[in-house]
Amino acid sequence: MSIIEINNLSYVYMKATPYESQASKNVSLSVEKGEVLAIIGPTGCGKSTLVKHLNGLIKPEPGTVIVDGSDIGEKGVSLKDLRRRVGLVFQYPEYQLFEETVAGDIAFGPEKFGFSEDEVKSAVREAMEEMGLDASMSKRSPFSLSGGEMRRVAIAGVIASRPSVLVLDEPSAGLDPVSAERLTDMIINLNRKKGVTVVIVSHSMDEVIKIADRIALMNEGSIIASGTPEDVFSSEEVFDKMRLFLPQSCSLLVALKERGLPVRTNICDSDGCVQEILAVRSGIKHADNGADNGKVKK
Amino acid sequence: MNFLKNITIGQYASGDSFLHRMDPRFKLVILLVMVIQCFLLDKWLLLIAPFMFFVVASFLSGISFRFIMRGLKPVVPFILIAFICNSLLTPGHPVLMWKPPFAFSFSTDISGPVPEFDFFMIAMTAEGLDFGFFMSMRLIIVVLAASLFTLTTSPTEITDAIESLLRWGRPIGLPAHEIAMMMSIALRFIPTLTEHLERIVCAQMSRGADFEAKSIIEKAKCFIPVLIPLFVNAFKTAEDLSIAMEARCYRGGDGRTKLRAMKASWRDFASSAFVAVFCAALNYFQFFSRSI
Ligand SMILES: Nc1ncnc2c1ncn2[C@@H]1O[C@H](COP(=O)(O)OP(=O)(O)OP(=O)(O)O)[C@@H](O)[C@H]1O
Ligand SMILES: [Mg+2]
Repeated sequence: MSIIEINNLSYVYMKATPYESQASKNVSLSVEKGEVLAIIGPTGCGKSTLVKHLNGLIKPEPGTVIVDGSDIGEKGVSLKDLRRRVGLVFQYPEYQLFEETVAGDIAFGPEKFGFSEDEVKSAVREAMEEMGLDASMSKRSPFSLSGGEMRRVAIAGVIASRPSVLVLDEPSAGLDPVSAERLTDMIINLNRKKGVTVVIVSHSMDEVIKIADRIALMNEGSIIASGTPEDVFSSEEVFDKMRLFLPQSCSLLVALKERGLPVRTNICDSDGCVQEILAVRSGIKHADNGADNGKVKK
Repeated sequence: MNFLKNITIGQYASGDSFLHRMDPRFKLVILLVMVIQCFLLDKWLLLIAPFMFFVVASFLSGISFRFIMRGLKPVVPFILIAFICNSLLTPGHPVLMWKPPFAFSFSTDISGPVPEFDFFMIAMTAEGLDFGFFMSMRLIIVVLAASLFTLTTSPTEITDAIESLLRWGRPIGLPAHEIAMMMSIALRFIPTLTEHLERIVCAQMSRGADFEAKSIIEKAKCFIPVLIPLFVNAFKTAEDLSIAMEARCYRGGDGRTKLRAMKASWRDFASSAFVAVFCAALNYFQFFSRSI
């Protein structure tokens, strides 16, 4: 069952001015309940714009966004309620912290959404646990934390409202590889254990491969391919346009194929890639044993 | 959430028109002269001339007239308030009046003696309408002129022009370069701040902050989660900027040369000559019409 459905959505920034820029063009996309959908694409292709639509922060013109069966553009649909159900983590969310204490900041969302006092407390505790923040941190000032910790506090501030869909805009941008991986693991955990549907915008293909059930690839405001990672990365069309976007494992296989080796290119994870190369290599060895001076290929 | 971006006053629209190519110093001086001229005129009929001047100028700017007009939108409330207050509060011959228990009534008698001021009557006076009209015209012209200037002159050009004009005040100790640098930084920060503001407002809204709250106290509370991150950001950006400036050996204006030197051309001399004749004609006309 799809929890979010986007139909023919377009959006133009600063319409009818000399600065007009079309950020989405006829985007249609659906997000299934319980899945992890990754949105990828080059800088400025409209990912953040698309994500803002999911929270009713900008109005589609034209097009519809349907969340849980109700069209959010319609009058009478409570945007506040929508925002509780669909949690949105902005690009560089650490800039939104403002409270005196970490716990206070995380509690902002639940309080605004009308949780009772006890509920707020337990939501904060749970969110901090979820994001791997030590309980001793709750009384510290968010401005005294490191960038990575601030990021986790900000994300905790969103998941504390217990959204059923979590939308993250480049959550690991600018983090060191270890923190990035820990963050990815926390997001996977949320999805697997709590059943939270996740929409994640990312520039790291290796992260995407690890986390995503489905991928939507954007370019210049439209979605040019969507499907499982294997499908998306092996389609010809995507290839021509987005070469540099392939995960490393995929580009390795493609390069090998171009040199005439019979590898399959629709494998994305690194383990599968190693298997494939090993299999092909042993295949070539067998063939070369027949002819004496077999061509040596890298 | 792009309510902040609809403000066109103070914005620059790049282009290659007559106005864009003019020397910013000349543009600035012409702007000042024209504004002062508008304040010297005392009849709204005469104000039509400078108004037409700027309408023609906006055609020379190559920017669509609709776009320029949209920039005037935010000042419409001020103009309306100025108009209404002036027309109601200026003593004179009432033309449209309303005395509480009775209905509205009109009067076209504006030549007789001024009637006694009636404390219980709300009335628009002929003199008030005249003056209100005059004030509104003046406001419209000033705003139109200022936005034409900023639309066709980039912030860098504006500060260069100001710096070069302020240099006349250097002998009396006016820190021309410092003032210009401060202005250009302040101008440069406006878009950065609005961008931050917009992002923070969006982020807090998706965390449940309700900016459409009814009571004033609720509304004020909503500003805290916006203002604190905004200030934190602004200080950070300011610090980064000062470090970046120091790293590039910035040490004030002495001996500093410009990448793009301003140079006057035929456009500037032609427009200055035209403005001089235009103002002289207006003043003459005003003097002449007063004496008859
Ligand atoms: N507030 C705005 N006003 C005007 N134009 C905007 C605004 N925000 C984005 N744009 C334009 O819309 C387009 C899409 O921007 P968007 O932020 O959605 O890109 P993105 O895919 O998120 O890029 P990135 O990977 O760098 O975050 C860009 O061309 C950008 O210039
Ligand atoms: Mg983005």
